Amino acid sequence: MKGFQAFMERYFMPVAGRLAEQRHLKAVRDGIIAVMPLLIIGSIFLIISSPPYEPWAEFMAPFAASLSIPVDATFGLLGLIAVFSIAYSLAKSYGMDGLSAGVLSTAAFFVATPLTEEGNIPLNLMGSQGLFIAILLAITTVEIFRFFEKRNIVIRMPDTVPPSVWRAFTALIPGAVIITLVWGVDLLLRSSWDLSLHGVVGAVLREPLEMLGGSFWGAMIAILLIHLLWSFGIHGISVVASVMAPIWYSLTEQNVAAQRAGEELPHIVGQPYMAIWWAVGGSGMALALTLLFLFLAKSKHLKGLGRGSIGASIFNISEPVIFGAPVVMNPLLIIPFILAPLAVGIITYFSMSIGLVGKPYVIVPWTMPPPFSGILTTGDFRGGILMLVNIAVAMFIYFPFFKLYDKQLLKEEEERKETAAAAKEEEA
Amino acid sequence: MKITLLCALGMSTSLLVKKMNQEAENQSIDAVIEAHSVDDIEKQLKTADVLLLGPQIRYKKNTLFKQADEAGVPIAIIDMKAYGMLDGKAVLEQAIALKK
Repeated sequence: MKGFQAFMERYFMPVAGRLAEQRHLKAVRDGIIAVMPLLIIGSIFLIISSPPYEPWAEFMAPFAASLSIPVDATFGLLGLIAVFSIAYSLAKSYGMDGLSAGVLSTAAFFVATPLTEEGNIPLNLMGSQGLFIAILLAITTVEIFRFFEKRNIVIRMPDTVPPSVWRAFTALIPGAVIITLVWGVDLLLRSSWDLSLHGVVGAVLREPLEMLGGSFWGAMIAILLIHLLWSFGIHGISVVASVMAPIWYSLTEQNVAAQRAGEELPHIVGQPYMAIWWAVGGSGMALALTLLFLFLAKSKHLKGLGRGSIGASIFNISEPVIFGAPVVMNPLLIIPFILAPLAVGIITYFSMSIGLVGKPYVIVPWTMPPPFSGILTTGDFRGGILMLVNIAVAMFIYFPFFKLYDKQLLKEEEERKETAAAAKEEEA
Repeated sequence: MKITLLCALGMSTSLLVKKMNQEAENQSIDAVIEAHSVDDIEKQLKTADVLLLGPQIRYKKNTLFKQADEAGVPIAIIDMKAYGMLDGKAVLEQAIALKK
């Protein structure tokens, strides 16, 4: 295990570090995090407009249309807001003017968006359907902008002109190039093949990625990877989400759209599945392990840890248990730490796919305690029951490993007590 | 002195901060201790005397240590065991030793 750890620290850690620090991935992640509060606010309106309780839902039905306005303005604008905030973050990371980059890429986004027959902006392309083209355009815009700035192909102003004025002029030449370029590409696609940029990016990028990321196996691989990383004490979800987050959000927004249209929800895997369902008490279903420590541990160490970390664990913070037990680099606990979330992931997936429990479509803060998180994300009271079953299953998987480890610690603690007592006797 | 703890979101380190504050009070050490998200490092470097990283983000060590070095702020990774046990005393000692 020591040798393996050294191997991981030497070769794997730098890769994870580079992935997490990669400028464009980081900008995409930061840009999407900026939309997060909106998605949670939108979720609140979504739950009010279609509550999980039938009589209440009937009561709310007349208000559904007006309640959909805040949902449209939050969930429905995921792509539009992301194009601005991703360009902003990326430009900032280069030390460039974030505001100009955001404004330009938003304009580029609209150039690429075909209007409806009545000449309106199509709302459906502003949400998750537009997310991938938003990412692409934000990055392209900033890179072109940077190219011009680096080579000094910008309109310079005398020093006496206030910065807010010359900043607008700096963006003129690169901005014109970006808009013309996007317009030209879109025109070419439209006139030659009757395609739109939205359509092409959707077919080439979005659909394949969503198919992979939204599939059962895609989810299992992600869960496995997250927990392997945690086993070495690395924040697994941060690393994996730096690549997968756009896909998960996009899948969830499609569920939101289907829910509002009264259609069957297309996806199980998405943001709530990945942030909430297999992570009760934090990564590794850590609440199950914390409960075992709290109620069944005989060793002082685990008992104390259970008492100390149960508060954090209820709110899905798992670091105290992961580093305190420790799970990290502890082969005995790593096994159930990986198996429990996988088992829960499988049970959850199949319970949802055969319709025992509703599919998740509501985004809640990840600190939402169970079983409320289960009820709220699915808008289904049975979601809460499934979550409790999941915790029980995880406890069952952890139990034999916990027992062995507890016994081992207890023995060590007693030995230490004996040597201490013996030393005292000698002193006397 | 100001001790700043960084982790992915500043959530789990905030638990540790509470314990460290208690410990500082007990020992009557004059210290301001805060937890923040690692994404805020640039802002935090301006005010912190000592920077401590949660072990779960040590994979970002290379970039973060370089940034701290350039700002002349001593930085270290919190010992895993002390982190897990929320051992405020040990981490406070680590921070003070780092400052010296």
